[in-house]
Amino acid sequence: MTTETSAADLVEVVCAVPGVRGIEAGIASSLRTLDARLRRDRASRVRYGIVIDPRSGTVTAEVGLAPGAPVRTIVEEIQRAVQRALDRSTVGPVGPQPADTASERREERPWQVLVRVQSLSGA
Amino acid sequence: MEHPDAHDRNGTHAADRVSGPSDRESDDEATQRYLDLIRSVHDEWTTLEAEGDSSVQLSATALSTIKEAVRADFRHGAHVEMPPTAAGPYTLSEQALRTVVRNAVDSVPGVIALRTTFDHEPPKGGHRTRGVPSRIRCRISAAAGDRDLLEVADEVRTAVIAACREHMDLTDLRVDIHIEDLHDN
Amino acid sequence: MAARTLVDERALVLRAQDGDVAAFEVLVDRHQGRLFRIAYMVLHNRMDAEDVVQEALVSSWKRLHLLEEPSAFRNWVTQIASRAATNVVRKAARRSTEGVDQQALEDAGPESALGGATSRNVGQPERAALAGAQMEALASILQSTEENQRTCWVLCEIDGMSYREIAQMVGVSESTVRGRIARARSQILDRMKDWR
Repeated sequence: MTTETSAADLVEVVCAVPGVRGIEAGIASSLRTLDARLRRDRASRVRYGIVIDPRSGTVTAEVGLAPGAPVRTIVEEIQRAVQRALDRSTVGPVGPQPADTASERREERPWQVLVRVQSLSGA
Repeated sequence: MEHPDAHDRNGTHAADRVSGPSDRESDDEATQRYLDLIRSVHDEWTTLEAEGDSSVQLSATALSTIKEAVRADFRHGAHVEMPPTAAGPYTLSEQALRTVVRNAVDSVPGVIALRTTFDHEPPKGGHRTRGVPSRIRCRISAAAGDRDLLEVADEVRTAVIAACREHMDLTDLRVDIHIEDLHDN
Repeated sequence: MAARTLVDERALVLRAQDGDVAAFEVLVDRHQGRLFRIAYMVLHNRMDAEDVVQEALVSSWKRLHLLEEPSAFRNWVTQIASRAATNVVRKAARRSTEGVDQQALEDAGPESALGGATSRNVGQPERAALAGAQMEALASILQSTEENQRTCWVLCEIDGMSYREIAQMVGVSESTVRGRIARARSQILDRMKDWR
């Protein structure tokens, strides 16, 4: 049984990180979301603010941050939280893997988590 | 006909208000009533606005609609590459980057950030991104007073350099401070 | 912006151009009443005046990067609002067979809540009329003036602009502005005589 982390799941994961004000969709995810909807594609990999791209092995998260901890600290925490959520699923960057090779494959091709900080609310 | 209070209000001069032929033919009394009406209308507004009366200004709903629309139209600008964290790469919008610097400038007592611009290294990655910042130029307003302005500029520079290091791990930066204005503290 | 009070409008505008939304909100708070009264005096309709001012302020935010001289913000935003109000009047005039609202002329008086160049007063709650009998009287009387004259007159007597500023704003010569204001004044004086 494979479980796939969906973009919606990641929204929750990201928003739970302290210092994250919320998902803040920008160009990167908006165009993809619209495109997916127009093509009636399964929307689970794309949501406003989060894009999961198995082909490039990249997850992109567009966020707004709140003041407080240094930006890079919050960003790193987001990246690790997303990485953990992806690790929990058995899906590697290029689709479902046979269970016994899942962890091997993941080590060879780890997800890259790219964070795009859209805004920082003022002091 | 002169408007006796025209000179006081808003600094415009009574001489600017040249009367036309029709005014000279007007009843002095009528003209006085006219002037009185205008003056009392202004007084009414001043009082009512000070009391927060919504009849002379936008309703609270209209005001919040404007502020929501402003926030919704927020321009992030292009994205700027940053030194990656230990867990992966990230970018900051130009808007977020300016906010980091603005907060640092504002944190210096007596200093008000005005505008900030950046020079960038060539981008490593995708289109539409700018490279890592190489130089920052801060336009500021400093409190008028006895403080040495060079000292103030140095303090601002230090604060900006510290914030860039702390928030973004940017260490190789040139920071220029330009005191453009003085304000009363 | 912490506990700091920015009195200097130029600084507020620069910060707003830099992306400081809180600074722009201060500008909104400072100018909205003034702009509303200008629009109301031209339009004599609360809903229309609110719409005009809302659009003018949001538009000024979107176009703020185009404002080259930050200290010119006041006149710049006034121009946006004034032109928008003028457009409302002109559109209504093209729609209406009578042009000027004759009903407003006949009803002009302190208690009148009717009038306005558009017909959106129907169904307005009573409280929507401006408080202050004199303000309402003035706004009603103004409806009897031509739009060109009314705008110049409002910018002069309501907003305190100089003839030169008005000329630049409206795009006509100073002497044209003087003439329009003089004609508006004499019409108002005539109307005021009719009251008594």
